[in-house]
Amino acid sequence: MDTGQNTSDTLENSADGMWRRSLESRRDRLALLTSGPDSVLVYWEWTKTKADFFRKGSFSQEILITVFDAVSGAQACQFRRGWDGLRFYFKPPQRGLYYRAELAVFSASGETHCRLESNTVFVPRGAEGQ
Amino acid sequence: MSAKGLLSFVICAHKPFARQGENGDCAGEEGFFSAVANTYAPLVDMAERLSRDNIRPAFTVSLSPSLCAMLEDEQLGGRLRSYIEAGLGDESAAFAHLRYESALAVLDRYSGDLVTPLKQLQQNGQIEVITSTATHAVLPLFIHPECSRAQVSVAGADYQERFSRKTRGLWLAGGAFEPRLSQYMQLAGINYVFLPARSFECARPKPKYGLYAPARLAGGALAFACDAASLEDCLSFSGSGGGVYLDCASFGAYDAQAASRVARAHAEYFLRRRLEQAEAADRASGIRPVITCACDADLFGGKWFEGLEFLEHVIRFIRQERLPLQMVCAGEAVEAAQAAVSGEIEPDAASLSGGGYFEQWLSPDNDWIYPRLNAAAEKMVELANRFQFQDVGHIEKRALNQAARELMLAQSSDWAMQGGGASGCGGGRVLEHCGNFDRLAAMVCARNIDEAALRDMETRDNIFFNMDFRVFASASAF
Repeated sequence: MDTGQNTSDTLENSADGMWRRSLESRRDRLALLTSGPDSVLVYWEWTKTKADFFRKGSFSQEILITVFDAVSGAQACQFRRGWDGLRFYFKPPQRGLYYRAELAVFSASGETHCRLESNTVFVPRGAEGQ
Repeated sequence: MSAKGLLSFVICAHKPFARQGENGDCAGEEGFFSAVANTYAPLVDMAERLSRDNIRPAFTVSLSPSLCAMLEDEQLGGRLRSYIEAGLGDESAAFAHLRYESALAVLDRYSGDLVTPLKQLQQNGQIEVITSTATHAVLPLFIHPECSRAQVSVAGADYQERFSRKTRGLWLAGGAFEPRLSQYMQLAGINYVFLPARSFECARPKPKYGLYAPARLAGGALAFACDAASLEDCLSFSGSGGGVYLDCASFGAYDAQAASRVARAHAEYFLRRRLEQAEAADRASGIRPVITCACDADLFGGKWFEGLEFLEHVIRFIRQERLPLQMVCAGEAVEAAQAAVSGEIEPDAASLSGGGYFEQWLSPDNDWIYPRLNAAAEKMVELANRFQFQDVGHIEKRALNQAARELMLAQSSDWAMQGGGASGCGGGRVLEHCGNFDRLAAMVCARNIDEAALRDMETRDNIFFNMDFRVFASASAF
């Protein structure tokens, strides 16, 4: 007989279930990883305290992630996401560059509360027309 | 006849560390046993046979430190013997009996330790042995540079301890490279690495001598481009054979003599193609090309039952038919190519995996492992920085060293490839090692070490005997 316990274990152990653990991180964290010339993973994690602030509405539910050319400092692209989205993949505007990102959290009144900074990734140049 | 080209076979041998205690309950062990029986022991046998016939095998084999640790493990050795003996008793696998008997003979000759004959073959100048990243981690997916340095440094130290000399070459797991890794090669005293052809094709600037000569990286190490055509040929042979090769999936009727004839024909075809390549490269750039054929060791004997026979035919034909090709170890290719080394290039990020980049290790199916790995890495660097100059007690030092081992085991690229959630074998191993790491880190920070728990982890995950946690420090010198 299937039990609720088993179903719950399965969900917790799924990839999505594992991502939920990022709502109880030891630190707030923002990171970039590249899987190819057209795909960069951005992910973020929150401490339980910070996640509770979001849940209670002390912070805006939307966060702002800005990606920069890490060498020139120019802004490359920007994304608005739900605070508990925890990850997404994006296509970088240009290949062969180093990118870094910043994540901004806003208070309920719209003021910037804090920023997280990511590592720097190199996006492969890839072949022309690939 | 002087050689028109140099053929450098690089055979990449790796298995993830799978040693789950007395009861042998980890599926990874079986993969290791099968690889020893079908590939590693027969490879040693083949190299020794060629050597006895005064034919120098002259290939390069990359042995990952985790594989070496398993090859030398006495507990695993006992279970390996049982595995092979069971295979010999299996009537449905009669085609493999000869191979298993010869594998047992090789193991008996060296008291179950396959590292020793490889070391001897290297000392006698027959082959070259190099290392790979410590736990076969894919370095471009690290966000902490300390981890990349540690993987290279620990691998180098492990090799030196085992082979009583420094490794000259390094195999990057999956051939995965990104430009910032160049600097770590020199720091660890690595002379050369092997990169995907794509890294050369999209390099800045373009390498002067193209794909068939080594190019210099920032920091001074050399890089060889892995030849896509020769690998494609091997992969294509392994999956063809006109129905004569052993179908490892079905184990139908098998005519060993007919399969042997096809392997021989494939070897002849392979060498014809390499000669054509060498002549074309000579015409295009006026150099004596180095054709680097890098293959996963599992291809020879495991995925392709006749693969080792093919390789032996290749090596024998060059000598017997006096072909204008020369088999060379990678280190010899460096010496031979000194006159035609392309100046410093910045190769592109790429890998040798199917997609050409890092999708195999980073996708929506397995990306959940990276927050776990990166959090542990961040903590390890923090602990190494904090304790590197402190006079820590013996037991705290043991806990810190074991934490470093657990982190490195968690970083193995194999786990991401096995995919799935936490219930899968690969995901489970990430959680297990990260869990061990967290526990050890908490003990160290609380200055309260549970020695029994520590001893248990040291016994089970007994890799890198001389691990020094300070290798993860931000300013570590190695």
